[in-house]
Amino acid sequence: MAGADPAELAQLLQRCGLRDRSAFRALYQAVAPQLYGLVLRIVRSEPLAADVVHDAFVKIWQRAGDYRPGRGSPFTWMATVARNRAIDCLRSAHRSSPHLSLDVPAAPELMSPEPDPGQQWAELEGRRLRECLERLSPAQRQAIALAYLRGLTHEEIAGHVDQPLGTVKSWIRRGLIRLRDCLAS
Amino acid sequence: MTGEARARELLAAEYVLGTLHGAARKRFETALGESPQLRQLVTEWETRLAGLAALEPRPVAPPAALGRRIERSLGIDDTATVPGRRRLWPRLAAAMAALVILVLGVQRLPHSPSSPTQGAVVAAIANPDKGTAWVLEREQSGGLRVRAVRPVNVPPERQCYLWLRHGQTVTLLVELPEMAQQSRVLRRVDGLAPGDDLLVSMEQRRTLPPERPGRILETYRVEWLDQS
Repeated sequence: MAGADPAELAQLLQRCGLRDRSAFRALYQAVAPQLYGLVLRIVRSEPLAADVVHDAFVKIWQRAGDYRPGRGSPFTWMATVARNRAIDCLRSAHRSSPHLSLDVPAAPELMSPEPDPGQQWAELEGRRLRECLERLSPAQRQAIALAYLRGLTHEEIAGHVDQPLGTVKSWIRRGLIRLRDCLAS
Repeated sequence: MTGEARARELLAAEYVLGTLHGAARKRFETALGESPQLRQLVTEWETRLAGLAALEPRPVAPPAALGRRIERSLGIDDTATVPGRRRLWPRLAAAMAALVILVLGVQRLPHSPSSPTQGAVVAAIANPDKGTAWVLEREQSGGLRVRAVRPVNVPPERQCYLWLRHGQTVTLLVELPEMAQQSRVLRRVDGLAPGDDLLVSMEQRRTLPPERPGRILETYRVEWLDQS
């Protein structure tokens, strides 16, 4: 459902809260590819990603009535549900090599000035976040992205960027505070 | 910001970011259960960082069977048995905490050419003990208005609403008026048919109408009058 706007997704969520099956199908069609892509990049396993997306949609259906616009756009809310489930899954699963060389979120990916047209619904809230991310140093930005979007630990990030652990911790902490201050300004 | 406040802020941030691990994470979660302020910090960071998940516009087609698998898990796939579908309503009812609903009058609204003239009563909304509280009147245009016919014991902070349940969807029809108020036009809806339910809820008065039924204090029934 390219071009679906937040109001449309919010309405679908609201109808899901009322146990509307057709709304759930429309919602799935609208956001499943984005959520699956997001989850796949975290867990790096297609069967595991399918399980995570399954669990995420079950939770979305069960908690659709809890969605509040003050917590972000409908897509952001659903993406957070999927991301958190993926991170939980990653933590509980046996982790071998993180395969960083295969799929690491480059910071510029987050900073793309021309997002996919199908993502326009994320733009209003995303614009401010992008602006604030741009104010971070590239190292801070990448470290935060690796942690949030890939579920990497401090140690794994340090290994990936080949920097001391203390340096990575400092990047993340300073980046988080700068991000908070920027979003509040 | 004091050193302690900054430390709490960073702990909350790293907890949400996912970089707080092991014993430190467990200690934080213990503290989280005891501190509303800490929970507030976590909520704020969840909101701040949530947008990150939406900034990676790289959709990937999920397995073709995944959607059906999810629907089966939820009991909402097309192959679900009728009893299985009926189990959805109790779950919905459970989600509507403290909601009291009396569902009656599952009848088609009259659509015959000999529709009643404007103001003709076509249905009553009644309480078994106290009688009719509101009536539905059909307008010449075919629309419906609702009018109060006796005072109802509605606390000042409460407001009654009329809802249509169509399949699994519940739609707000109108904010029910009180005696001193004029009749109100029902929202037009398509597909009123046997199997649809009309519900009355009584809820906290607010500026905007509720998105779904909440809590009611009294139970009413909707009785369609025979227009044939």
